[in-house]
Amino acid sequence: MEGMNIGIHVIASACRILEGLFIALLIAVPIGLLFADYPKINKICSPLLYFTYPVPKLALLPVVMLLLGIGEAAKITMIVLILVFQLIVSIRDAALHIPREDFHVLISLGANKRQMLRWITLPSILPETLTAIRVAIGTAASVLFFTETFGTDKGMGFYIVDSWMRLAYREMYTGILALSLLGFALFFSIDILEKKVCKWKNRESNHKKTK
Amino acid sequence: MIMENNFLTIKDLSVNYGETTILRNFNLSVEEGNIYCLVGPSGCGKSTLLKAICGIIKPVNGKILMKGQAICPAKQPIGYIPQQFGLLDWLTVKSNLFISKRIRKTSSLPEENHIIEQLEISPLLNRYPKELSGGQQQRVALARAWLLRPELLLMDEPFSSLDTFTTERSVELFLQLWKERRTTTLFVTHSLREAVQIGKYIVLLSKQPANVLEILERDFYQTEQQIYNRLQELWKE
Repeated sequence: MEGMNIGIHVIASACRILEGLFIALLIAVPIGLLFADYPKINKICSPLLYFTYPVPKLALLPVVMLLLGIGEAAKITMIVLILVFQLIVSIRDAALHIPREDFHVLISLGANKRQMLRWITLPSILPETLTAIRVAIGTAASVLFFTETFGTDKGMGFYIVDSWMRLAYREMYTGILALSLLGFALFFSIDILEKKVCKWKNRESNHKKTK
Repeated sequence: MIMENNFLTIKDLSVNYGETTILRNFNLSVEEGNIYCLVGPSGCGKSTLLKAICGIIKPVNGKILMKGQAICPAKQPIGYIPQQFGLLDWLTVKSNLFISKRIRKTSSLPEENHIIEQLEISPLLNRYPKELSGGQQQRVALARAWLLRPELLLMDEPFSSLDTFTTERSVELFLQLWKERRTTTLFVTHSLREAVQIGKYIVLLSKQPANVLEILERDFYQTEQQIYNRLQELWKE
């Protein structure tokens, strides 16, 4: 029973993180690529990005709660805020660093912008995007923990704090362990995803080792 | 003399990089079915010329006509092999070979396997470019260009980063394939020997902004050494 009970909370937390990640990517990829493609927009908007990026996102929690309440929307929004800035900067920088020569052969084939995006830009920025997700997701999980301590009865934050309040220390420690395992699973999943979608990186490093 | 009814006509072409003029009023006529080797001092604009032809760089002036019409890579298949081969690291060799089919939405060619076999890249199809040697990458780049069935082939010092033996073998393979198709080719090289070995016409360019100093036709000379000597005389001048 306890196993199933904790499972529901783990799934709830995992879903919030994944939803937040999905929304953050939907926002960050076009914005990051826009900044990379249009230097003038980058010049105007980058200072704003740099100004807001270092702000601890937990400091924005009261604002988010004021605007969105204490339900799911606020929790997901906090995840998005943690992830989106990191992703925009990483995607923009990765796109800016794509060597111009990579585009030349496709230009000579008469490729249009959509084809350039599909065959050059998106594959090029993929490794850095996954790295940015890896870096930001730890912080996202810790912020999520905090936001789950109120306004919900599902999630690892709720589970751990509720166990603590009831002096159910065994459950509390189990919850902490489960949260760690959730973090481990997220990182491991990103590693697996990277191995699948960035095969050339693994083959390149194996090739260098055997040389 | 520039004849607009030639296969490729470059007329009064001017290209700038920022403030620097790389090509100014450059003129060249190219006949169909021949290899033109472009030789000239480093930085004179040879690579820039190829990039302007295949649309990578927009000229500030002039026109480039292929078969009497403004050149358009989207409509006219142009095979371009840049100096570093231009293979996409995240695609396997097989995907790199057939990228032109995906971009241009063309169908398979009956001679695909023949080209792949002839260039000895069958064992490499599932590898990634970074797993290949320079010579292997060069052959893959060549195959990719040939599989496009290009009307015009632009090669920018394709053998410059290879050792002597690999270069000899690559030249041999290239000429074998070329003789089957006789695709009009502009071949940029800094090696006079390579130019004499490969080209029917050797176009000697001046220093930047480049212009054509002289075009030597191989058939006018009895031996390669004669052409080579003539090129050296012109180079010194």
